[in-house]
Order: sequence, then structure tokens, then C-alpha cells
Amino acid sequence: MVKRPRIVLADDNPAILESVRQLLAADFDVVATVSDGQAALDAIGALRPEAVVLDISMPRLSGLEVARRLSALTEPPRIVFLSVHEGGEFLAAAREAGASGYVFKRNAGSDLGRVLTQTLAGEMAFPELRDEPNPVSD
Amino acid sequence: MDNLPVVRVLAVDDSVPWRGFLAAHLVKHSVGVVGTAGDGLEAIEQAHTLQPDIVIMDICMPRLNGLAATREICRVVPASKVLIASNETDPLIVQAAFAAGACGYVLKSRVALDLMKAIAAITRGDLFVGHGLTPGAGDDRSSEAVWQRGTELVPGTRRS
Repeated sequence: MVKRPRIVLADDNPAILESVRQLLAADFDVVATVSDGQAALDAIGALRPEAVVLDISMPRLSGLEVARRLSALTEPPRIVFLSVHEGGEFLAAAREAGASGYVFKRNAGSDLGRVLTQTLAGEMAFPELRDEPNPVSD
Repeated sequence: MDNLPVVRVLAVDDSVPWRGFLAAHLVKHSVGVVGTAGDGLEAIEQAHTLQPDIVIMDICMPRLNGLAATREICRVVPASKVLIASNETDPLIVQAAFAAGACGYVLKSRVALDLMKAIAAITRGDLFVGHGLTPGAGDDRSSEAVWQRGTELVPGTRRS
């Protein structure tokens, strides 16, 4: 039968967890939703999902710290940040922590599914910063 | 644009986001997606109608799986070459895909790195096995390999 990619979601806001779970339900298999960084590590270790969607600001362990620890594994899941933070310093920190994708929370509805699919295929998917020179010519 | 020959691709997968990703990825690399299909039966119909150069084919799909569809497309649309893009890593499934007539096999998790290499190899007439895959149990050839067409990839199933 058809296998959908297995995803773990981590966010300390239960309303966001639930809306993201519903958003992804049609195309992904959300195997766990957790509300802090340590719970995310535990769930990922137990369930071995193909990808994880992480908030940055979470209790116990931040999303960035979770990503750093996951990146040290031999076969880490693909890491996508879903965050309200839109500054370049957060995008850079996410890349440095080993993320392959980043979605601003206000764009979750339009972008999260696409970004997850891209990262599952091995692509990097980060939003472009407006003040950054655009490498693609118009 | 130059007068380069444009590769025409039919993208077959039951996941709508995946088909969208494939189309976006291929367009970025100047490969034209002429059609999509969501299962094996639709793939056979579309391949027959569109006569694509390459059919990118998932394996796990409803109605008719990608291996059965590959076999049928190689029979009824011999000009179209099939490239499998799947999460399946089992050597027996990889072997079965080539036995069914596929010219290439890449892992979905490696598409960003392997897909264009595979398309180039297949277009040249070679066979392509992506990183992390080996065709057939006990086959110790290293991963990611291009073989000349006619290589005995799967004993007794050589395609001319």
C-alpha cells in the first residue's frame, strides 16, 4: 500500500500543533506531536521518522539544540523549522544546526508541505531574505 | 533558448506534493514535464498518449503498482524509458525493476542529487543505479553506477 513520509511535529503551542497536524494529514503520516525539545528527541529516537518539523522556542530544549543533537546521529531525519522568527540570524542558525528547510509560521499553509517534500528529496529549502542579493535573475 | 533536444518527462506518483516537487525540480534543470499520472494504469494510458522520453515512476501506488506498469510501458511504448524513483531499497525490488525493463533507479531521498545524473545516463542509453542501492541479492557492486546498455545487470534479462 501507499507509504506516506513519517513526520514528528514539535511545538509548545497546542493550537499550532493541531492545525499543522491537520494541514499535513492528507500527504504525510504524522506519527507524533510533542510540546518540548526533550520530548521531540525521545519521540524521534523511538519512532525514527523521515522528517521532523521543529519550533525554535520551546521549553527544556530549544529547537536549535534538538537539531544540533539530531545532526550528530548517523542517519538524522530531515529537519525543517517552522518558526515566527524571520530574521536572517535565525535562518543562519538553523542551517548551522543542520536544518534543510525553514518555513515562517505565517506561510505554513502554503509552504510547509512543499518544503517538507523538497527536503525529503534531498533539497535545501530556505526562504529568501529580501535584503539579500537574489541569485536568480529576473 | 538553444536548439538543444528537450527531454520530455511523464511524472508518475500517487502523492500530489511529490508530483509538484518533481515538476518544479525538473523545470529548474530545463527538463519538460509533459504529463503526470497518479497510479500505474493512468501511467500506461498517459505514456501511450504522450510518448515521453522518460517516465519517472514510483513503485507503491494504488490500482497498479509501478513494477507492473513499467513492464507494460516497456512493451507497448518501447520508445519511452522508465526511471524508478522510490523509497524501496530492497535489492530484490531493485532487481525486479530492472527485470521489468526499467533503465534507472534512484532513491526518493536522493532525488536532488541523483535524478539529473540518472536522466543524463538514461538519455545516453546507459543504465543508472542510484546511491545506496544494489540490484540483486549478493551483488557487491558499489552504489551509484552507470552501466552501458547491454550490461548484464540482472542475469538473463538483458535489454537490447
